[in-house]
Amino acid sequence: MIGPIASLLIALLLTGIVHLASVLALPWLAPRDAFSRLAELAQDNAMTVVAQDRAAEALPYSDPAVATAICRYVLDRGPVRVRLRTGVGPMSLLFLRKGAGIYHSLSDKAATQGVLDAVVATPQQMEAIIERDSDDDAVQEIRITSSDIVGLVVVHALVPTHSQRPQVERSLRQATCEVESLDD
Amino acid sequence: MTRFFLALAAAFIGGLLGLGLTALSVETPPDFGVVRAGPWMTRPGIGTAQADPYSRALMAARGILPMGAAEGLMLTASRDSSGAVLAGACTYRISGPVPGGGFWTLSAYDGNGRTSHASDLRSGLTSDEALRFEGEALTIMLSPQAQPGNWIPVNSSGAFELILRLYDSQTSAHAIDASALPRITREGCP
Repeated sequence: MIGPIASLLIALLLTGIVHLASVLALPWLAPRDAFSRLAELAQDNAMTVVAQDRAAEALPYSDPAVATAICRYVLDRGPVRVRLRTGVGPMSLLFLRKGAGIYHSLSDKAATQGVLDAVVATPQQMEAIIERDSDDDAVQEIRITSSDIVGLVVVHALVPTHSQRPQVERSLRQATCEVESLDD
Repeated sequence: MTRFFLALAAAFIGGLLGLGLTALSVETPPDFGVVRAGPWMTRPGIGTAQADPYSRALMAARGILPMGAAEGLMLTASRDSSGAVLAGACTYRISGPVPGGGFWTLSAYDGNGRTSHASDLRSGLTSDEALRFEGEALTIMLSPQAQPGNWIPVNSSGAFELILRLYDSQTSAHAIDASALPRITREGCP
């Protein structure tokens, strides 16, 4: 028996299910989310400094006082190491995955002797890295496990005053993002 | 048979309503999890993997990159302290304490998230650039016309939004309080 009340219930139930499902699926389906916009500006396993006007054009509501560098990491050949020197203003590293958004972030407070050193690896690669650790040396690098093979590392370096932008961008150009072999 | 079609129609309408509700929640986001303090608001956890689904859908649909949790705290204002929408034609005075004690930036954006600066004028202000006068609270003017002291130019047409970013801040989004944040006062409109 499907009467008017049952029809109403069906409609309500489906409204709820479709609404919840679409809200949850949106980050994975959105074609123009921050991840896609940033990935267009990035190279695979190499750090790219993005000019301020390009960053502002690509990302709405971005901070005009920030210098940006991006690396798209691909972990199929091994873990990726990101290294950068801390600069004149605060710096941070953001780790993004499609759908998940920022899954990890680091500030320059995590740097040792002025260098931020982070390794991104798949869970399997991370096991191999930990196995090779010697008991004597303290681990200096920051280790981040990525459940996806592909993701983004975004470097944000604050430009304290407008005139310091060239200096900040020059130091960002020294930042690296490279595949590391686990074989040797 | 009619019953079958009735159920099908109900399911179809339900599906449409569900999608409509999602579109609406991205266009005018619900206040779930939003923390407000005076004219400022923030979404705690937005820059983490634990962000609530509505905030996450909103960011994805609009292509916004939030601040990472380790990066700091982002406070947004689209209204002044009296509750009126920030209009580009008007002049506003932002005055009061900035919490955190660390580095901060204040930027003005149009409705599309573009910095509302004309040509080479600055589109925001950093804590290092801000001028402070002894014995006076920090004051920043927002106006389409040039102002003495700290001035952020805004486009005179349409509404604008402000984002105050507290970098390296240990301030918790849940602990912010209107008295510890700058007030936004309308000085005048043409």
